[in-house]
Amino acid sequence: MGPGRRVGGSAGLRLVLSLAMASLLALPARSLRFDLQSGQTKCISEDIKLNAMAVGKYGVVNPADSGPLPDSHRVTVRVTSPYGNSIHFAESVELGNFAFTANEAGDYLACFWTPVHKPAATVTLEFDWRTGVAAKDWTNVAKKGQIDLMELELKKLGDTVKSIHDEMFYLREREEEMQDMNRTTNSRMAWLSFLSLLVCLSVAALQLWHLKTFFERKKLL
Amino acid sequence: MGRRERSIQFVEVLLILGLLLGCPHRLSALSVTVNDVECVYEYVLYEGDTVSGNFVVVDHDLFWSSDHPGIDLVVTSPGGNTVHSLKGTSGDKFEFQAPRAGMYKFCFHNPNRTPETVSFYIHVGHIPNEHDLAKDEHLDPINVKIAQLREALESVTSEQRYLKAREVRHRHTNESTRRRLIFYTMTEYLALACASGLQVAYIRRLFNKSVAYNRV
Repeated sequence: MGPGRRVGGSAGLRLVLSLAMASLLALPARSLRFDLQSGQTKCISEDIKLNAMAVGKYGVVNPADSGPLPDSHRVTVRVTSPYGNSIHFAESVELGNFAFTANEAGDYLACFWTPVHKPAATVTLEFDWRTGVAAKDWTNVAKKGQIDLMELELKKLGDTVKSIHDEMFYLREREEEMQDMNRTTNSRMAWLSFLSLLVCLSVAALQLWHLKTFFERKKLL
Repeated sequence: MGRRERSIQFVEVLLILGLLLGCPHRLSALSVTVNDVECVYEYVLYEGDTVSGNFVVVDHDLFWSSDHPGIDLVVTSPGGNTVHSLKGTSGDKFEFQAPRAGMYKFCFHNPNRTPETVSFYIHVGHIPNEHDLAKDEHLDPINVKIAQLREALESVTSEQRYLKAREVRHRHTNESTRRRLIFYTMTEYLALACASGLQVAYIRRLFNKSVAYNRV
């Protein structure tokens, strides 16, 4: 009950609080949710860059808020990479999570389906998929560096600015590629139209020449 | 001293509860295929939060048919009334202030039969205002500034995602233009050559000795 012990107790609680706040900033309590009819498949895709971290969390929302869910309320999940490799597969589960580092750049697909059930049941699925800055584990960063909440926030902002900068480079590259493609399409169209005129004229000339020799052979001309 | 210690603990418990119930920012950036109606739900925690987002329709491969007319977006508040609606667009940004907290429904409606892929991004942003500052003594005015900065950066990120999705759609259109150009031009040459060949064959047949009216 001395002064030292009191100070120690409140400082420990503050650290726990800041960690809790940081963890909630990284993985919020609520996320995107959508409905799945029995036997229906729904796929959600996200474009992920090379070597970016991605973290996903999914769960069936229990409408009754009590007791276990029946079998019809379980989902099967499959996460595939752009080249078709299966990254995560879970059959007949109520909730789960997955995390991976993108080895291939492109569209990653997360597909959910429920088994067919006679009275058509609608399953509400909650899905949270975060990539890049939001996927980073900020609780570990806070614990390792022993930094306070404000510094963590500013670190997050710094990472966000860097990712914005990288994204601008990526967009610039893509725009350059597209401009090249447009330019070649433009010149190709000009060449092909000119060629079509040539083809038309040459076909007409061939026709005339062939018919002339044909009639001369038949002694009609 | 004893009372001060108790009041600090009470405030920290409140803060824990507040943290458990609250979350300053949340986002979803995904793409779904819309066959008829696709609805996604997002939870808005505080009344007055700015809900912003964008969506872009990426057309499926069109070769023979004309462009898709666009899809509709309808945002419904938890009370059931329409908060925001956009009709027949191929992609747009939206922003509105949430009139109340709760589960908001974002529905994409596809009037055509062809399935379309929609890539959307929804962000719910909350900036603590003076009311929150007064309620919670642990919240500094600097937290408000940090939240504003965070929201500004989020808007830049959101705009970038929109531009990226539009660029994907643009690239799709360009590749389709290129394919159609090559295919249609080759078909045109072939059709021209075939028509001309058929013409010649027909004229030759007309002057054929075996045809009745040519027999002298």
